[in-house]
Amino acid sequence: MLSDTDFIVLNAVYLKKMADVASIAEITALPSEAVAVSLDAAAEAGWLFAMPTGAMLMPDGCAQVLDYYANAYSATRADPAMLAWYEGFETLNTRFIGLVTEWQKTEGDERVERRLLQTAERLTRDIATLVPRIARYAAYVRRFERSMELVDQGQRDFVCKPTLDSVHNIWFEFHEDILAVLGRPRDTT
Amino acid sequence: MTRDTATVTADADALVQPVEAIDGHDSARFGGKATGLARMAAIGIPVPPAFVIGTDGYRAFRAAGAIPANLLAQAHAALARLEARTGRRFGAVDAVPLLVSVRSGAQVSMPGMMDTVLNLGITPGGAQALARETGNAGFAVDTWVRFWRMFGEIVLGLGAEVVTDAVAPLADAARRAPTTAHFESLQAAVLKAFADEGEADVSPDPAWQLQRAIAAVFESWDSRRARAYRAHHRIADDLGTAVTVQAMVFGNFDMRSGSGVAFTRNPNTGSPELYGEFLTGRQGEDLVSGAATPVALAEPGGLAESHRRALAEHGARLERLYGDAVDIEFTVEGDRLYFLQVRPAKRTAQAAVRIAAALADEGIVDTAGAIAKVSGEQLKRLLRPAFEPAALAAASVLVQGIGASPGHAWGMAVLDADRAATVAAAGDRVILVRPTTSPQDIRGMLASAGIVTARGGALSHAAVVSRALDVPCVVGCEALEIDLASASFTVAGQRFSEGAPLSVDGATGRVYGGVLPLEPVAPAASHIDRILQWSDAHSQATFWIGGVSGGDVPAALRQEAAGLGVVALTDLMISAGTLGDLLAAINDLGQQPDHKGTHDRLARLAYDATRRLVLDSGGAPVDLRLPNLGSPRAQRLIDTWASLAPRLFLPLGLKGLYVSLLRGLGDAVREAAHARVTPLVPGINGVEELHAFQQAAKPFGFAGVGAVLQSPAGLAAADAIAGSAAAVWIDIRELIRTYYGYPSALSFGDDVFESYVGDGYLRHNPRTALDAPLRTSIGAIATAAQAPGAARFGVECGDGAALALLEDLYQAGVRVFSVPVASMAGVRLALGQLAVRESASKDIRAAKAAKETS
Repeated sequence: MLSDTDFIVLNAVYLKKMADVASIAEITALPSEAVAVSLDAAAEAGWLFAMPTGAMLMPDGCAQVLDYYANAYSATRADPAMLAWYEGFETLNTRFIGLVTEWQKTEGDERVERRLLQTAERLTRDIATLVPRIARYAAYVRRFERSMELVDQGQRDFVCKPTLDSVHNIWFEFHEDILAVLGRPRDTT
Repeated sequence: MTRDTATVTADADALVQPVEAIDGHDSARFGGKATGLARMAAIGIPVPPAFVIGTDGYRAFRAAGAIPANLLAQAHAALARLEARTGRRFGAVDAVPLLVSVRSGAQVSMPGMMDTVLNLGITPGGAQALARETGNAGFAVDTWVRFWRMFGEIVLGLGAEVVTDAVAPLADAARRAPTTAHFESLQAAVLKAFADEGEADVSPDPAWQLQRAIAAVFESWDSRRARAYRAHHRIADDLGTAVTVQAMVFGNFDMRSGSGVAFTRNPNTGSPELYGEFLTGRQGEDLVSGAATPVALAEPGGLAESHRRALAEHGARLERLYGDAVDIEFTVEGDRLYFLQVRPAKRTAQAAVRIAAALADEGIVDTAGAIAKVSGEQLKRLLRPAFEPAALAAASVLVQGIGASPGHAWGMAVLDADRAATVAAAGDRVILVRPTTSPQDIRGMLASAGIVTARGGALSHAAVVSRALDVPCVVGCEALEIDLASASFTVAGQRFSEGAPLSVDGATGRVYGGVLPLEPVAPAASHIDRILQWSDAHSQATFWIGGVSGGDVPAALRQEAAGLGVVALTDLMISAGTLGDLLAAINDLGQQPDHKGTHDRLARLAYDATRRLVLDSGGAPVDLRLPNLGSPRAQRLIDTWASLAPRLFLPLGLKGLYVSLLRGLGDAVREAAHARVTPLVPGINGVEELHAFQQAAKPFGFAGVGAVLQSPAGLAAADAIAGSAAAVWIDIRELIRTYYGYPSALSFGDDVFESYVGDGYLRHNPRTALDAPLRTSIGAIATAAQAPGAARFGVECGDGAALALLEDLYQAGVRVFSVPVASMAGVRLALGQLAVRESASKDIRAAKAAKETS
């Protein structure tokens, strides 16, 4: 099984599909050196394909990441409190995606934006309650707070631009992450 | 200030003011909300009565650490005036009470400020009276719950579920029997729930609640988010916020009442008609929630005719007040019409151009105001290419899904995001076809011309991301079966392999087999033309179309360009497929510079490549640049570049080359009897080179020649060159590259510069901002070019330059731009808007200066 650090690094690549050292270091809050060491080792093992624009996981690397999820979170998967938490998340998720769509269709209506950020704030609080159990989730709290702050400052690309660490991007990565933690398939939305 | 009413003058210093008494332009003191109401009241728009606590009240609050006694006394007096105006009593328990909304009102709206609290003033007795008077117990319960939910959430900062959970077991009983006792038990449950959350001091007294809500508005000015926003935008912390308290009106009061929304112009088409809907006997939120079906304003049986007329008349007045089409939230209570909220109306791109043109025609705004009402983004959307109608009519739909992101696109189907990125990088257009998409597909989505998914709805990842990327997208094509293992997909038994051509209409949700060619179109084209003409009148800029080749000359000429140029002879040869011949001839020339046969070949190639363009241009000016073999582009295009005769790398190179090309071009020009073709010599650094070129061109009948400058040395000699030339263009991208000494442009993506700037190594991205010394020298040349009879001086942007860079060039004084067809409309609009902003800020500076000297 992967070490915790290796998992955190490879999981970032898994969720982003392709990621370079700088962006992995940024989202995981690990030092760049540590990220580079993990990536090099994974490339050595044939789990990872390194390109100038970033690293991509090979099928074996994906299997390693999913194995870690299955092992590390077997107790979590069976915990009814966790399942209840996830149900709450699904309600929030539906609301959030609807608000992002409305935000896009209204070309960034301020009232919609406020409700959207309130929903993201709510998820951020909810994720914080999971941190004692899944310590690496603190990174999501930090990322959400940073991106929401940038939106507040008027950088509205941080609402849902796919090429930035936007609120929508973080939300979607978190969704993939929690699904992997619980060992559930992703539905069509 | 000359205000006539004595009562107002008497307490102009008071902390609390009725909104109709305040200066509708003093948003610094009263905030945008109250000044908006004041300006509406001033022109006779019926708004529910309201009072405002100014920012001086905020400062008194902050100094005292609580609401000072004098402020409180004034607020109560103002509340008494609302009671008199409405005939209702605040906190009444035996009759329908006066309920109010409490809002924050800073001069600039900012995040972190308190949201609106509605229905403040309701009590168990009041709720019971409301149920009795309206005969609508559900409404009374909803009004009551809504107040406490908002108070809990907004004032106390608790989750909405604290109130909704507390009332859930009891609300139904109150709905069935809206007795005071039932409302009392609801209130007890809510107060207990608050106490359980640590808010034990919440009082059922409306006066206490109002005081607390006002304090909460003031406190929200100092919330973390508001402070962070102000710090970032350099807004002073001591400006403070105003508080607006307004009487609530009820659209569900009786069956004459109702709520609606009205647009002064149709927000979809822009046509000048009152547009909107009305819901009888309901509150505004029922419209939003879709709980009941409203009636269109145009239809009979909904809104009373007198109110419809009043809406239209007030709407026309509001358009003049706002200088824009507006949307209006309104309520009818009993037989009275109230305007609750008025905002500049949201509209589609098509409506935006039509409304902008109409507002100018009607004298509501001037042309400067009209061009500000349209965004480059909207123009881009309107000018987006669409399928050729004939091809579309002949095409059959392969599969129907849900249109998720509008636009037309064609390309080859690719079923994997990574392969999509690879295929697109090789220059092919891709339609990404996936069962569904996830963040892991983002690289492929970025590279695709269109996206199709088999599953998912309008809220799916594919839909959200494609809208953010402005890529046409169809989701939920349920008849589409994708087999990733065999890289194929099946529709109704018909099997397609990856690579099959598809065409996608992201608005209708239709996917077609095969390629449907695209053509530029523009709904509302005549309005767009007028807006762009106004824009040009403000910017005083002229635009040439760069990068045209053979077939697209007629399309390009429709863009009201001043001319065609800068056109590169190399591009014409690439599209004619003769570049290889040119290179072979140049190679031969290097071996035998004086070989007559080679000269003739070169002349013939130039003639063949330019004949069509010169003919099709219909006499419009054409500026045509000869090849520069020393350029990075030549280095990329020519395999044998390194073995060419070295002298060819210098701007004029070998006489046999430029003279022969000029001869061929001269033949084409003579044949077409075209008097306005100007050959340009690229990359020169001194007037001697220009003179030589000029001498060479003379025998072939060219009245004048020009130059394209690409280096700081060329820029330094620009004055002298312009003295002899008919036209001087700056190749801005090449000039920036040589100015900084960076290697060939091809190796740099914008993100490379952005991260370099982000690391603090460079002050700005050279592609988006002009460095000061460059700005100074370009500005000097541009100024000299304004003199009568001076050479035409323009900036050439190749296949595109950042808008911010073009704005810098405009501000430096450049007035002639060569841009690609696709970005022309956006650039024309942006520079017109920039000119308007510049002249406005000049006016402000002049007014300031005049004030200081007087």
